[in-house]
Parts: sequence; C-alpha cells; structure tokens
Amino acid sequence: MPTDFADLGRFTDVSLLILLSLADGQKHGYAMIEDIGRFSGTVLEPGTLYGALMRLEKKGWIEPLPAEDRRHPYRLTSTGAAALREQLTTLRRIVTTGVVRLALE
Amino acid sequence: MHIEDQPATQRRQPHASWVQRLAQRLLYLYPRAWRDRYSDEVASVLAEHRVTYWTALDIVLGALDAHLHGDLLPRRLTSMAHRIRSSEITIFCAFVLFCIAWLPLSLVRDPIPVWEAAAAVHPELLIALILLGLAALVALLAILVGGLPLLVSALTQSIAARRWRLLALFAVPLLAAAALVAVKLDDIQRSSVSQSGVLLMRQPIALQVSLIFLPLVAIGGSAVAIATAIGRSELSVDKFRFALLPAGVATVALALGLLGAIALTALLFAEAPQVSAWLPLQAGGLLLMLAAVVLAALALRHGIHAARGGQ
Repeated sequence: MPTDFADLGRFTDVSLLILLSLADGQKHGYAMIEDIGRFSGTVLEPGTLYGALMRLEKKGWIEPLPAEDRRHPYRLTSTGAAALREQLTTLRRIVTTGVVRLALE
Repeated sequence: MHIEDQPATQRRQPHASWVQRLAQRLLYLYPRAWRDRYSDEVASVLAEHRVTYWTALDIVLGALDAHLHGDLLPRRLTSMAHRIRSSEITIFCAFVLFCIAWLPLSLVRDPIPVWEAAAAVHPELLIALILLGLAALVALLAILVGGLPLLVSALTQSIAARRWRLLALFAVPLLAAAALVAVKLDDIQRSSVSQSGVLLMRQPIALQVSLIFLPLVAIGGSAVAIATAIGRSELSVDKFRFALLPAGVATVALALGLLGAIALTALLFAEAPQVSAWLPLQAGGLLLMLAAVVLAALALRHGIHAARGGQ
C-alpha cells in the first residue's frame, strides 16, 4: 500500500496531525480534536477532520473499530505508521536544514 | 445509522445553541453514503465541540468536498468486526434457506404406512432421513449458541439507545409467530371431524394454499428482519469472534445434511419411487440446499480470513 502524502492535497497537514494523534493509541473524533489542539495548537473543525478521516480510511492508513456509544474509535494501521514515519523523516531533514542554515544552534 | 436517531452524547446537551442545531441540520447536505457512515460520529463531535459560524461553514465545505469526491465515499465498513459479522449473517441466512429447502423432503413420511413399508424393505432410507434430521438439529443448536448472545446484546443495545427502527425489526419474528398461531387456530376452528372420522376442510382452496406459504413467508421475513437488525447493530469484535466457531459447526452440519438429503433423494428415486409424489419438488429443494451449503462455506472462509486479520 502506498505511503505517499502527495494525493491528500489540502488535507496533507491535517492527515499528518491525525496520524500523530493516533500514534499513541486509538481515539474517536472529538478525542482527536482535543489531542491535536493540545500538542499542536490547531483547532480542527469536524468537517475538515472527517474529510481527512475519510481519505485516510480509504488509503488504509487508519481503521475504524466497533462503535462505543455510537462513535467509532480509529486506530493507526501498520501502513499508516509506515507513512507517518516516512513523513516525519522528511520533516526532520527539513528542520535540520533550517536549523543549520539559520544557525539556530 | 441516521441523524434522526439521537446519539447519547447529543442528549447530554438539552439546550443546544441555534448555531449548534444549524450545524446538525447541515449534515443533511452530505451524500447519503457519507451520512450512513459518519453522521452519528460527527453529530456526537458537534455535541461536545464549541460550535461557531466557522464550524457551520466548515461543514458546508466538507459536504461539497464529499460530493466532489464520490470515489472516496465509504461503500461498506471494512473493520474486522464488520467483515466477520457479514459472514455470520450470511451463514444464518444460508441456514434458513436450507431449512426452507428441507420442507419438501420432510414430506416423504406422508402417508406414513407407505413410508414405513418402504423403510422396512430399505432401512438405508431411514438412516439417510435420520442423518438429515440430526444434521439440521446440530446446525440449529450451533446457530442458537452463536446467535443468541448476539441477538440479546443487539436487543439490549437498541433498547438502551432507544433505536426504535431496530426494535421494530426485532418485533417482526414475534408478530410472525402470532400471525401463524392465529391462522392455525382459525384453521382448527374451521376444520371438523365427520361422524365417519374423516377430517373435513371447510376453507376455500385459496386459503388452504396460503396456509402452506404463510410459514415460508413468516420464516423468511423473520430471518431477514433479524439479519438486518444484527447488521445495523454495533457489537464488539469479541462477540463476533465467539460466534465464528458455532457458525463453522453449523456450516459443517449443513454439509452433512446435504449428503443425507442427496442420499435420501437418490434412494427414493432408485428404490422407492412410490414413497413420494413430490420427487421433482424434492429435487428442487436439493438444489436450494446445495446453494445454501456453498453460500455458508464461502461465508465461513471469508469470516475466518477476516478473523485472522486479512482484508
């Protein structure tokens, strides 16, 4: 299964935040919004969140679990974890380059 | 899953603001397939979320996005629980189909004197019939062992969540049973025994024919209602995993029952054609049984594959 973020378009950043949120365990929609708000300061709106969840589910990067109180928690699949690792490696390279070029350290 | 069935989280906010209510209403802008899959979840998020005008606009944009990207819309849930559930519902339906197909074969003992004479000469007829009956009984017990916990859980869940449409589906078998009892009582009342001991049938022919088909409609309708209700319930994967073993036993029993039915039909055809005047109907029933067994076997394979984590 592909681990490329390119076809996610305007949902690329949101998808990265969702995958990061699910990296430490399964969550349902509102728990993801809360968690993402805490670690990134981004307040996700439900329309955007579920637009990204639909895409991630389609790509097989996340999987819905049986509903609790009629809300499906989601979990990261192994392909999703691989995609996240790949994207974080790219971001780390970008950050390292930025740190060096701006002489931040 | 529909917006009109209020999720528990929504009930926690009895005085939702009008923007919140507007946001809930805007979910209707999404395509039906999206709403079936996500609307309950988004409604529960909206119940807890600080809803603003931007939230409402975000939902409108999300609905537009969903319409523009129809290829992304979920066609079915693909989690392990849902895949195992589909296979178990299919096995249940195959069992019901098998039972309906079994009815013509059960007529071989009618009239009893002819059957008893043939069975005395050909005891293998009796063995085949017993094998068929035992296999059907084992399949029934396995279906009950696997299905009853699912049924009770789904029913309890529906009552707790006040899902009236699901509860209506659970009521179908009860209504069907009540209808059958009422018709049977009416049948007994209309029939009477003459002085010579002959049973007199006073119903019109149409009513007599409908008496034969009513049980089929009742059984079929009840099975479809139960399968739909279980299909729309949200039960844990452990319950479905537990039911997979009895479903496997039921499938094996149906296959053995099919062997018994084939043997019985072949013996009747070759050795005792005088036993039943329903041979073409029995042959048709045999084909239906074969279809039921193939369906159950394929569904079991699919369920085992899903339980092992395959896609």
